[in-house]
Amino acid sequence: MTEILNPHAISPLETQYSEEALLERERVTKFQETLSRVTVRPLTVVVDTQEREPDVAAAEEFFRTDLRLGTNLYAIPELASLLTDELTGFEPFVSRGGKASGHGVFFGALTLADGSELNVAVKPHTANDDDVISRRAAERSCLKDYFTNVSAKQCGFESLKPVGFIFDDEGSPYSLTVLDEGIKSLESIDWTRFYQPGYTSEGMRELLYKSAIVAADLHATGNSAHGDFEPRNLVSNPYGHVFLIDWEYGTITDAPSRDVDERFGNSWKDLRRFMISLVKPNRGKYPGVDLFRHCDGDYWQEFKDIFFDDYVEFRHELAEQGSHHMNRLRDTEAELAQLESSLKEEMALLEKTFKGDQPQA
Amino acid sequence: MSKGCVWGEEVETGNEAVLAYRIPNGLRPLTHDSKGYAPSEFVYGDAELFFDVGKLLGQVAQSGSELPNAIQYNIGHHIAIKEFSRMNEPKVLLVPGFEAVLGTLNTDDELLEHYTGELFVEFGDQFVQNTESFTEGFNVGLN
Repeated sequence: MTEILNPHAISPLETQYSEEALLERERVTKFQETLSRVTVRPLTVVVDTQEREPDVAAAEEFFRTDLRLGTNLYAIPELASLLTDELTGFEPFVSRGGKASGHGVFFGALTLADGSELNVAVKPHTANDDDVISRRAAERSCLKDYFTNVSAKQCGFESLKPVGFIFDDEGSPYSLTVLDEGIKSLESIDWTRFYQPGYTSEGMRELLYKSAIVAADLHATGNSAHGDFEPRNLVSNPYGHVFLIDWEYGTITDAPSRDVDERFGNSWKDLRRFMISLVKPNRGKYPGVDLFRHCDGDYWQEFKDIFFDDYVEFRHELAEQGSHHMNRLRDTEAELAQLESSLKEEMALLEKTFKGDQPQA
Repeated sequence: MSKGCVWGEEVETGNEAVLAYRIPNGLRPLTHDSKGYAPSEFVYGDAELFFDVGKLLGQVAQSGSELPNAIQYNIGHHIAIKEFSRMNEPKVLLVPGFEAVLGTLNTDDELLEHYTGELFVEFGDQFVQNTESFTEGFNVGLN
């Protein structure tokens, strides 16, 4: 632990800051420096959601058409004219959720050309500055995050509004979205109370029900997955909508799946991850929400009741819509049967590992 | 906001006995924001949070004409936390309608005891680990 004096003094407490907190200051300072030398360019790459991997195709198009010299902020066209080349004005915000992000996302206000401000969330895609390979990997990750988010919006999924991304010859890339102050990550809820005797869990059940709809909608075409489907990436807004953020590991496309195995691969990846994150205790580097802490019943049966049965029902409903639905219904049936048996098996292992595993006092 | 209160727009409920207000996005009842994080320059941790809650409640106490004012119950529902704020903006605010649960107690010590008990019930360990910050903030608010 390193003690430093907080120059902005959130409150008059003397605070002990960890090394991680100092890195956070470094990240924000670096971003402010990067902004001071950016050239703003309108982003003209079109994302085609009929592609099997729209984000990959868009990234290739971007690399083909852009020289990537210097420090550039590629902004969505409607914002490009409002952003200026002298973007020195970025005022960071204080928030509760900053550390929840493994990516080191931070928040703040960008000053626009007309004097107004745009509140943004900034995600650094950290690279080793001296290592070209590491920088290229970070750029790929940044583009995937950005283009998959665009793809998700184009495919009709509610998501964060993209602003653009920054590529910098001298440092790490950043992806930027409009900061939606009304959203709240599902991870920020204390799920350990869910099965606590006497606790009313209707609100939480509603969120799980809506999450099941989101997942069913996402997997309906069979060729899309989020890749990091966890409570921390599911958010609710004041209108009661639940939707996904952080598409860095995802693929969203309108293109149909090739076969049942591909369908299963996508839904299994997301639901397995979701199930694990519900069960795991709130400890360690990638903690879960410990939903079953006070659950005496059978974990799989409970998971079915609060999530999986709704997911299956919506998958059936979606499969029955549109033309050629007989093939899709057949494929969906096969996929869901495989999914249920695999998830059940996984849950048995999780139950064995975590049931009765109470946090240390 | 500079006085520690939220400006809320009244919403028609169709029930005369129920008053409801629409408050700005980004403000949430403290009760529903129980997740704590370690503090840093840009992350508003539990120590800062309970310091500021203490300070706000100290200021509420000071607003009483003779005896100190106290929020009697459901403290977490009558204080909102601002999720994203600038460095020098208030982070916790009283929500519209908090007056309905205001009462008085005889002394500041009684008040502190009352709040410590209530907040323990509402926030459990999260509060216990930050009682010192709360008391410190409360004393700042009183002065």
